[in-house]
Amino acid sequence: MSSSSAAQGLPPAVAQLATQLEQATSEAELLGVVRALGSLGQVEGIPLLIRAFGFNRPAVGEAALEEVLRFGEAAVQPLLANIDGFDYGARAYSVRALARIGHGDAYPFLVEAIVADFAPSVRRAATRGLGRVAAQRPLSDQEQALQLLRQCLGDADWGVRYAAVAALTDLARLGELSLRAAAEAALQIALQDADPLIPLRARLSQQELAREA
Amino acid sequence: MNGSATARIASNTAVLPQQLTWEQAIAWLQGDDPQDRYYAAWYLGTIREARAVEPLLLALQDERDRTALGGYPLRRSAAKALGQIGDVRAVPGLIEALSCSDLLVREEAAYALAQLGDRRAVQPLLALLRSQEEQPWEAFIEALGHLNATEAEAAIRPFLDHPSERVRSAAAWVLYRFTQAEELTQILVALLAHPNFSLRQAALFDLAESGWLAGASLLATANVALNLRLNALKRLFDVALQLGWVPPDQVAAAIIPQLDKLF
Repeated sequence: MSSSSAAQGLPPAVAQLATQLEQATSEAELLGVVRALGSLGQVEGIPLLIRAFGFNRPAVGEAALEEVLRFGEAAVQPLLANIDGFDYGARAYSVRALARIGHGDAYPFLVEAIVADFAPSVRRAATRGLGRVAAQRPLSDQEQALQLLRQCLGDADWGVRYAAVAALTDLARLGELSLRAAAEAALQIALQDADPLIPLRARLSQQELAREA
Repeated sequence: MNGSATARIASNTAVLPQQLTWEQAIAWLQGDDPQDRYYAAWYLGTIREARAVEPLLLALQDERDRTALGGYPLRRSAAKALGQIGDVRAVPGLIEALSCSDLLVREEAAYALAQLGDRRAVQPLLALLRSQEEQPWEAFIEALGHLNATEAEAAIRPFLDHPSERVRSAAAWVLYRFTQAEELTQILVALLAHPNFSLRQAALFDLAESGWLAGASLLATANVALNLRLNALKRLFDVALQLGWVPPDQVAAAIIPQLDKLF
């Protein structure tokens, strides 16, 4: 989204915030605009919040993420349409948002991110969301997700393995009943992980699932 | 920037390292081209080649590669590589390097000795901590921390008032590991909120090194890049587990909710 088009064709309130976003010089100002976009609640403001993922200011990125999440499913298409192919920091925020919202439309994108993105932060976030998102998809996608998450349990990056445990828990809880046993079996694999954090996380998941059963 | 429905994933534009055999790398290390020698030292450390220990120890005394100000770049990279390789044959040579005229060599040697975990380094480091001359204080303090040199507590304590924030922060995490005194965490908490992002980043990892589990929530919410927060929480988990002050389930109970917020 180029800055020249940022203010065109937007509702006046959003256009004004777009200008303020471009002109803001301090972190406090940026945070103010981000919060205002959230309070305004107009979907045309979502791409601006996504821009704020790329300012390399963690406090602003986290605030923008919170505000995007308030839109829920309405944010899914804007998120998919505005993925930053160059800035992996920004991209990771978008992926976290898609993972949290958990809408099925994000599925193909998350799969590709896990398989092909070079940035660990993006792969971690995508892995985290795969269970929740796949649970909204047909059984064949859920089976594919399960298979991919099993592979993720063997990833070199602890964060991907950790995310896979959490995603498998989501799939067990939210997905097709016929897959639950397989998802729980995959959690068993995680108990063998050499990094103590992973088995601890997997055990917690098992306890949660047992309580809910 | 507009993408399409499928993301355009940028390729990693970092230069791929040139693969060498260990013999080639050692030959380069002993050769004449400063760039090749430097690369070879880095490479041998990265692949953790134990057969490179002796050649790297020689490089630690190299006189050929000098900067205009009298520094020893090759010695710095040799020290670093020796730390990565993890072979304690390097300890005496690294201890000697603590007295090099180049402070950056001293710094690298201190961190390498910390990685090697050999207690022979404690007394030399402790002696240097009492020096009247300028030293890489942060590196020396942290090395003593990693070596669990509790006998250094009294010598480290004055550095809690050092003019450099990073030195104070290093002293704070090391002394916290030694004593678990709560007031030390104030230094870390304050630096974590510093306007300068690289000081916040340093504080993030110093807090992780301290093993102060109650600080986990501060790591999760620090104004620092997401992946650093994740890595710092992981580091705190690893440290707390290693220190064993509380059982693993309690460590997990402190860390996992914070980690889950960040995914």
